[in-house]
Amino acid sequence: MKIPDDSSVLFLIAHPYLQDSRSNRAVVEAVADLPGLTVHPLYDLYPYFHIDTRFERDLLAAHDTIVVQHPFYWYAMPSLMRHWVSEVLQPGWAYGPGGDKLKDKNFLVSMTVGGPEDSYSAQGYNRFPMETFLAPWNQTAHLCQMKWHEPVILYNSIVAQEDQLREHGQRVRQKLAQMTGGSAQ
Amino acid sequence: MSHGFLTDIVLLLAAGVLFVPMFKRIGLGSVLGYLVAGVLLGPWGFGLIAEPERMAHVSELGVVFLLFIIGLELEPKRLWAWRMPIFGMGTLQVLIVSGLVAICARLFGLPWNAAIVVGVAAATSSTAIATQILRERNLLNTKGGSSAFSILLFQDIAVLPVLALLPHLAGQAAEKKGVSPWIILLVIAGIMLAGRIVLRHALRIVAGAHLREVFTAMSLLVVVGMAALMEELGVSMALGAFVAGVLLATSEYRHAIEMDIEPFKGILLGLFFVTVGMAVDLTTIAHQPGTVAGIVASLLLIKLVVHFALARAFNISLKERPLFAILISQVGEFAFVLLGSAQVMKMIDPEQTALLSASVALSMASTPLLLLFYDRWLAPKLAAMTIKQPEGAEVHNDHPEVLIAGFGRVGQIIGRMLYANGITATVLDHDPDQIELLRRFGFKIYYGDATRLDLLEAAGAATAKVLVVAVDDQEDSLEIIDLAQQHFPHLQLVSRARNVGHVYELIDRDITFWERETFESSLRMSTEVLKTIGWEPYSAVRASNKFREHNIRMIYNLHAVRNDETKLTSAARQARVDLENMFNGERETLKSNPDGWDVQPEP
Ligand SMILES: Cc1cc2nc3c(=O)[nH]c(=O)nc-3n(C[C@H](O)[C@H](O)[C@H](O)COP(=O)(O)O)c2cc1C
Repeated sequence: MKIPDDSSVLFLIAHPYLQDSRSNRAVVEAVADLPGLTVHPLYDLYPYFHIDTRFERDLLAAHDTIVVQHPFYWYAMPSLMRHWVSEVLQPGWAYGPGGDKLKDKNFLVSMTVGGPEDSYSAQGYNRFPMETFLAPWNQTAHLCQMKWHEPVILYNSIVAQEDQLREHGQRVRQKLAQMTGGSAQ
Repeated sequence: MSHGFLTDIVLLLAAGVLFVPMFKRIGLGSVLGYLVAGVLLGPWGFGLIAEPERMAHVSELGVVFLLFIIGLELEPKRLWAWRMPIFGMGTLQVLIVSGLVAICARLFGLPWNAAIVVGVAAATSSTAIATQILRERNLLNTKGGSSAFSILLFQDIAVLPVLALLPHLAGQAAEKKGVSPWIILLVIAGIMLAGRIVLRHALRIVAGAHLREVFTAMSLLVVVGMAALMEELGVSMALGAFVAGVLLATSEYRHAIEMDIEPFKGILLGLFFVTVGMAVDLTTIAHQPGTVAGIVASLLLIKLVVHFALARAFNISLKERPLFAILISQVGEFAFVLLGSAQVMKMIDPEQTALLSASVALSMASTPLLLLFYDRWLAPKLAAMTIKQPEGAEVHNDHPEVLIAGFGRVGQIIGRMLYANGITATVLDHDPDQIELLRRFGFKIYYGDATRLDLLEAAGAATAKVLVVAVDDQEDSLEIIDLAQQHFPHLQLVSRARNVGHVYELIDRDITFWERETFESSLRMSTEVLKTIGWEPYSAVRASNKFREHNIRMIYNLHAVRNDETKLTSAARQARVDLENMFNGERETLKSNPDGWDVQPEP
């Protein structure tokens, strides 16, 4: 594996069965052709769950914008994404004394969520607003001194129609363009 | 007596076979058994042995072999680490003990020169007795044990100048007969440098011939040849053998040689103790029992006290001190030589010589008794007293945690993986060519057949944690496992399996970890196939994980029902039935990703 030299957006995608996921595929397809964007499918690269941490860190360091795209699983991220965070974001590199390699990079969470938007509130059956579940990502970005951007979320992801999926893909694409100041369109 | 050498041998063997088990049984130890046998057979006992001198000469080889084996077990690195105890403690021990004993002897009316000879004789300890015990109790790895051994080594070296000085002490002009010490040093240095390479090459060639008895002959040749060379130079044979042993300590054939020499050593050492017993002059003891007892008691007292003080000064833990002191408390066989020479040079008269020699022999016999006392009374008390005291054992890797039997394609990967993680396994393999190649890459490998109990033992099975059975032959594999389970029940076994039939045998033996040599790699390859035809990588991995899980479960299930059938069917037929069963069972493992998420649970 090698580090692409003219890429500014790193698009991490963590879905164990990406081919079976209409919503996640739709997002990847919508952004894949953006110039200066590298799609980085974690489950394809590390199906045995052994992560090449040095490569991952070099890759992160080479990009200005980090996007994590994943389905919402049990109110959190899929296990390999979680494992990736634990293995790659080391003290002294990503945070802590001397850990400033992610400083000032853009950070965006892009998620597909099975439940409806209104269920994520005190009155809904999921009882908590989405911010509560996103707090781990939010604080991770903060600890690593990255710039937090408002997450792009597709609710009702499982039952979404084709046009809704296409529309969501465009939202993600526009968000990226806006974040990178038009360098990625 | 009119019988000859052969009858002597028969008598000695018979006495050994009779007395040693008896003494061991009563708890007095084998050394005392041999000594008593010697006393009874000797000229002062029943006078059954025709040629005690000739016997004595042959039996000296026992000590030679013993020292050779000790040398084998000591890597030069470790020996180098002992230079301080050897020269520091050794010098002090010899000087202090011989000084004190010389003063006593002077007080009893011996002239100064004779008193000094007696003093030096008294300072020496019995390498044969002490080293035998050190090995039996595995004490060389403790600070006390290694210190005792260091002192013995120093005494062996110190013997050289003492013998050279003897004529001067006697007031005689030294007749120039010995080889100059420079030549001796030169020869030893030459052996140290060239011996290593020459010996290794010779051993490799001989081992390559795959003739067991020739290899044994080669081992004997190395030891006896070295001892003979040293004797020719006027150096102690035992010291020469020790040097030879150290030279081969890092050789891959170390275990094989050790196994070959061990039985010879045992028999000859026994013989040696018998000849010491034969030297005990019963008439002298009977005539002057008080004097002999007094001499023995004072000698032991002086030595024990000095050793105790030395142990303290050199920071040997309180717990180890008594054993250390006892180990080298007896007067050694070298005293016989010194006293004999002194008598010849007219420094002491024959009566004094007889008295002292009897005392020396008795002091040797005292060691097993003192040890008995130590084991029964002192050790338990000390253990209770010093529980908090840290162990004085030094760190070394002579006790590997991991043994790997079989260093073929499977064993090699295991060995390398462990090695990469800082764990040096001891490897047993029987193919010398390959061993040599791998040794160059820094592996610790020994030559031998792992189905032999003594080899496993020599490699450290008693203290290792894990034995990896990676030999390719199924029969050998099972044989090693049976041996290990029988003799080293603490050993965890990790076993390579040739095929499912082999796996069943391993399950029969309750082996918890077995692995078919081809299974995991084949799974990896099948995963790759699925990916290549378009499966998502993680789904492919998941499928192989499920296949493994299912397959292992099925093996245990089939194993349970199989045992009754195997008796009826041939192995080949059984293998086909096994395969068929597996095919049928495995159809169940279809690709199935886990079910998704129910988005609309009951509100
Ligand atoms: C194991 C698992 C856990 C899930 N947990 C949640 C959850 O906690 N909340 C939620 O709204 N949806 C949950 N979902 C639904 C996913 O968020 C939804 O399937 C995903 O966003 C859309 O991707 P897909 O096309 O692969 O189904 C879960 C799905 C799976 C498979």
